[in-house]
Amino acid sequence: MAVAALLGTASLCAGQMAIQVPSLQPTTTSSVNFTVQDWGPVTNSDLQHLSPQTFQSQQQLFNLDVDTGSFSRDKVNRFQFDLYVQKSGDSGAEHFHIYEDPVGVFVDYIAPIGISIKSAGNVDSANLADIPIHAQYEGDVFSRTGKGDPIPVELGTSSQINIPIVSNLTNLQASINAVTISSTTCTKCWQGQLTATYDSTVQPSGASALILTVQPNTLYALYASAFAVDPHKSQDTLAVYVTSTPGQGGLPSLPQKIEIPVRFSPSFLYLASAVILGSLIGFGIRRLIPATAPDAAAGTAAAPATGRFPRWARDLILSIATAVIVEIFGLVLFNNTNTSVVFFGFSLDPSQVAPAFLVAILVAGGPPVVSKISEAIKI
Amino acid sequence: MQKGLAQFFLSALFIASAQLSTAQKSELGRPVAIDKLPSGSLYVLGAQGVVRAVDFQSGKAAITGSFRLPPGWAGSDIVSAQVSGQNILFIAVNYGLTGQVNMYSTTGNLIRSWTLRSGVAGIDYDASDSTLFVASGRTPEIFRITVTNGSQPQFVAEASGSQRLGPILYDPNEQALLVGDLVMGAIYKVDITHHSSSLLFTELTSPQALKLSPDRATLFVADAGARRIVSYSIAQPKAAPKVFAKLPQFRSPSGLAWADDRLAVSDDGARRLFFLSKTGSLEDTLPATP
Repeated sequence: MAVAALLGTASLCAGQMAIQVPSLQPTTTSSVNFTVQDWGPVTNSDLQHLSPQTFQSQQQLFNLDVDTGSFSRDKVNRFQFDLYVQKSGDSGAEHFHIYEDPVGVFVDYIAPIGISIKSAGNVDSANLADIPIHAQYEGDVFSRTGKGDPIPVELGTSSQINIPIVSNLTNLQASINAVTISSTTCTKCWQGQLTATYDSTVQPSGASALILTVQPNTLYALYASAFAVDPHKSQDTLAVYVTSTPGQGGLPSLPQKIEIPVRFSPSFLYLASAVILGSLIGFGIRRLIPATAPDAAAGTAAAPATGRFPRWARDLILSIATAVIVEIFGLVLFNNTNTSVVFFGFSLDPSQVAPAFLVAILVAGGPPVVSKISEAIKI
Repeated sequence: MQKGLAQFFLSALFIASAQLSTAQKSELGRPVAIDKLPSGSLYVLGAQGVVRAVDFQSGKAAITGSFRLPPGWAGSDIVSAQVSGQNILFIAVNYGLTGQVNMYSTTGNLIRSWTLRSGVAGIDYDASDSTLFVASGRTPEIFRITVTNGSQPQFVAEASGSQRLGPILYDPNEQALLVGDLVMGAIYKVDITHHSSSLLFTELTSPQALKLSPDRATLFVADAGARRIVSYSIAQPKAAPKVFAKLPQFRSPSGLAWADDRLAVSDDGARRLFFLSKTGSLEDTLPATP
């Protein structure tokens, strides 16, 4: 029997009856062998207690009952089920016990199994429909649907991230046993425990969602976002581990990792603070830079300040207003057309604190600050 | 009249609940392994992770208690032992691809756990050395756990050529391990000292349980595929095996234990315990044969 299983076909001769179950090949790199044991004859009254799925052989020589109530695991975790083969017209049946021995990685599915039966010179074959084929090493049970772009997470508040997923089990239910979440690059960027809620049962090929509840740690998240200003790159990646069990006797899978890239979105208050602070710094730097000769001449030739505010105050208000207008313009463009701000060849996301701060410095500082920075970069 | 009716219904209710209780108590589930403390109960591990205590009342076996393991744990093997004067159950389970050996009190309190990444197929305990031996579920590896010092599982040896390890047994006389192979239908002898293995017995279909006779001269094997219990002489490994018992009621013998002078056999497929005499004849079953 062991040799038969190795050759790819499990066969067993039970007294006058022999059955053969050929191997299946779920994918090009995986296979499922079947081991058959004869558990002897049973009476018709024994058959009354089954949850049978009944089939007839092609030449109608045999009736076959697959006991769906026997779909289970043995002590070394092999999937097993019972098959009862009854010769037409006979009372009682022969009880066969079938083990699946999967090799390789694939996703569980339901398939028909073709078997051949030999008894007292009669040879017949039958198809056992709807037999669960279970992998030992499960492929990915779920796939994430939608775009893989970084998901914005608002700073300063607890928020929920909706991760749409779809089951890769085409004709088996999947039960989600557990979901755990961890940060891959910035564990300090999160406060409290990252948790998920989900429907524990996912229908075959069905859509579902993991709803992650997260709360960023603002200071650490701002620090992380300061160095990841490219609008297309994530500032952290959440690793969501989903443990699930395929229905009808599947093995609980190893945790399947789903990566969720995130970008921290500062609230209006943070952005406004960054723009005002940047404007003040830019304005201050501009005042500190010594005026060049033509500028100085232009300054002395300029008309004396008139109105309610001194000249420096009007300049300051103008700098802040300009920086605010540029930031709003950048945000409108970025949010509607995904246009990023390009600064010295670097693409920046104006919805982040650091880029907003930088832009405000440059706008409020004006040409003297920009040229100073240009010179510094050339050096 | 009304009082009589009330008494009748109360009596009927009592009888119904008593029958329910008896039915529940006689339910064994799918027993995958058994073991018995020298002076204690016989413990039966079910495939769905229920542990039942069986005691003998007026010579008849009866379930006297049970506890349930966490949901999703698939029972694999059970060994009872005395550790620091306390009766202990070592229970091997698989959860998905991960194996776990758990140390329980006989009342079901979890004391310690050890995790085995490649699953677990069988366990046995060497009381003289407080060492637990574990056969891996998906690799031909054998591990050792020193129970008293809190160590993690340590690799001992590999059963070279094995396809799927099953039951494991420590032979104190030989200071060797005997390990069954479920696919090859063979039993390997593993030398713990030299970390080597050799094929000892063949001609089996699917050895599910191993047990030495009380004098340690004979090895009993539950051969599930052939629905029989066979015995081998340890002193004469080349001698052909003897069929100790081949009952028509056997479906898939899964566990062996000595219960006084009788060999208790758990049967996963028959959902029963069979109690055999020293000569292999059937003396009793649990649940009782109708």
